[in-house]
Amino acid sequence: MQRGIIKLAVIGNPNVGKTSLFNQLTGLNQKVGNYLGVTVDKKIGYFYYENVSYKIIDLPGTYSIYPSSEDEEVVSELLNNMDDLDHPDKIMVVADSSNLKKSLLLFRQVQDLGFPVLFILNMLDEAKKKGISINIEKLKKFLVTEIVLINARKGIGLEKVKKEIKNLDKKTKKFDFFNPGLRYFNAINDVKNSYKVTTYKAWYYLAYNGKFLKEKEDLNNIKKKHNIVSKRLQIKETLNRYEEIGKVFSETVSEFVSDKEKNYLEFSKKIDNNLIVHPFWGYFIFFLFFYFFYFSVCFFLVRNSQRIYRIFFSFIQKKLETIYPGPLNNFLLQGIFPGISTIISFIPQIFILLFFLLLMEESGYISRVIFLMDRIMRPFGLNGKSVVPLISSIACAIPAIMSARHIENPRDRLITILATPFMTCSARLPVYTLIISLIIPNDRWYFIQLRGIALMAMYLLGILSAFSVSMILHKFLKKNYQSHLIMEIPTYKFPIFRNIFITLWINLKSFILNAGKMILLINILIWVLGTFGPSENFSSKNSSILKYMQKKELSHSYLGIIGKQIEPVIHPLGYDWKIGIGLLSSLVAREVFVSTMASVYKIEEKGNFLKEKMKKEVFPITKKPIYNLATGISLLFFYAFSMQCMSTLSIIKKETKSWKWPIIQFVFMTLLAYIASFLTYQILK
Amino acid sequence: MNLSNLKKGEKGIIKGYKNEDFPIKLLELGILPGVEFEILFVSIFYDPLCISYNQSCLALRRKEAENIIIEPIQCKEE
Repeated sequence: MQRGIIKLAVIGNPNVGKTSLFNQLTGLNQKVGNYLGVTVDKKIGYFYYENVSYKIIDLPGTYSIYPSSEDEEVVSELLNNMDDLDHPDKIMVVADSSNLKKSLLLFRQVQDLGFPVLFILNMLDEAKKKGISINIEKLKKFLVTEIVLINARKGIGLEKVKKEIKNLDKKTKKFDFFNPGLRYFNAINDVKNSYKVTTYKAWYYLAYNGKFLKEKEDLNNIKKKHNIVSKRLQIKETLNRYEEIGKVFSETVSEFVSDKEKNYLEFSKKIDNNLIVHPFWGYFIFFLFFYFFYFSVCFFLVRNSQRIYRIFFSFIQKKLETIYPGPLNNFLLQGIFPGISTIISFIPQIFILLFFLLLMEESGYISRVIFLMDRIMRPFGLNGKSVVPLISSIACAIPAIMSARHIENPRDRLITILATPFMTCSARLPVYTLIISLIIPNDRWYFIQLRGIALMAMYLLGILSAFSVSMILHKFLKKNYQSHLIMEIPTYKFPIFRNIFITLWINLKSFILNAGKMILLINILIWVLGTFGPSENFSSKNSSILKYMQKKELSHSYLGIIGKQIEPVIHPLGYDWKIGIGLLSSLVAREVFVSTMASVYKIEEKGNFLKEKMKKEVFPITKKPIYNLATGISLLFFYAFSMQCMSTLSIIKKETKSWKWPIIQFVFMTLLAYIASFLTYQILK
Repeated sequence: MNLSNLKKGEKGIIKGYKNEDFPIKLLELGILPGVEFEILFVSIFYDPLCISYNQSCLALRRKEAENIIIEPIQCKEE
């Protein structure tokens, strides 16, 4: 089928409505690069028009084909790598009509690379409101291209886009718009001869170091021979292109700023100046906002949705238990069912937190937060853009680490990635609440709940450790790159909920299919380990599997044996072998601790049964309760610092493109967790 | 005079760059000689700054701003 598909790429500056167009064309028919897979980093969607199938790739926003971040490198890689499965046949360049110049720069570059390009002007009516009028016919002639006018927010002009895409000629234009000039004539000829490319591509190879080339030796020699500084070439090209764009612009676009528009701009400027980016109120609003959403609305919604789904699942489980009791039924109920319910329990959290994050991004608030926070984050080796991953990791470190891709500077990005897992993610929440309810009494001082304060303290601990770690890394990592922040601040926009929900859906789907697979697999593994033990321990060979599953036999299962083996190591932290089992099984994902403890104590998830059983637990020798304050806090600290999330490690491996950092992180965090827990237990004991 | 010398609300015209050591992204975003701009708002410690030019707003750090040579435009009020 692949042969019959025409591959399209959507390219454009950030905030021009690329994704809106992409969503309008493909609807729910999309997928995103998955967490665990390594190859796909882009959003891909499909549509069908007049007997032809189209595959569209939504690329990250960029200002030119010379990337300044890893995010943007995807673009240049895709445009240059002919072997890439998604190397586009045709390209759509989307532009914001009221801000044409920057889009024209990118458009011309793509055109010069030799792709058939369709120029799409978005938000023309908004531009009209702003007093900008564009002479489309004239612009068409200047740009030597078809132009389609659309309104991606309202979905106007889509049929026209599809039609023009179909008619877009595959044969490319004859001449380059950019003239490299005589100074580089010889160097370009040398590149052309050794790589068999067009003039502009040869120039592009010289100007961008040919990062995407597999054999770079020739290129390096040519550069040395002709004394070429790549950066100068990029500067020359940008200046020359802007000169041409200035001419085109003055002949085709006229601006007349109306009073209404002026008033609107003044109004939004006032809001920015007096509230959103105000040196005092700006921070106040930011913290209030986060306090309100993340601690009130989100937790209220998350907790209640969890309650509802738990009731629902225990109901189903009860029903299923009565049907055909037996080994298969037991496998389904103990091995698979808890796995599925864990996966589902994540959905409301990811959904709600991602929703607010997307809402802020769509409305334009996030870039103001970046602006506000940049200076404050810098002493820690972070930058304003690190705020987004750090905040997102309150939900889950995986999408958070992925969002660090927006950070252009590799060093800042690495520090952000390594600090992010310290933030209190939602997987820690069930562990924290379970332990806190065991060790902290349910008392109140007026309005203040002790358990609430304990939970809050754990969140603060997460923030504090994330910042401390980044500060340490900032001191020790080599400073190879200049860090900078150059970012367009978009105007406020009313968010399009369709866009938010499509993105949400795609992220959830990808979570269920990828992270979910892991969770299910591990649940089954734990079930097997916890159910079966070495057979020589059992006298009767004919005993059914059911016999192994009795509670008293757990200590003889593989899991029990491993748990007992590690007991000497974890005893100084105040743990027994049962907690050891919990620690081991939650190496995969922290929240597994709770369900493991439930199965260690063989309890249906019903009421506070687990808590009561755990409270009654005593050390066999000393007869002291296991879940005392010292052990509890030691456990809390262990979960605050330890890297117990295989999915996070695999995403770090993917994002840093090396095994070095995930291994360092795992060792460092585990050691830190061990030491912290050891100290707390020994001091509090 | 460079861009970071201006205060909030002041306007200027970009003349060029002090040295070649600046991110190309600034050029690509249209921070070119001859472009008029206004300092729109500033963060704490005057870093980063946000300027408006050609219907766009751009945030940049003080370090980058110091590298951009400008000529101030006197406001009508003064």
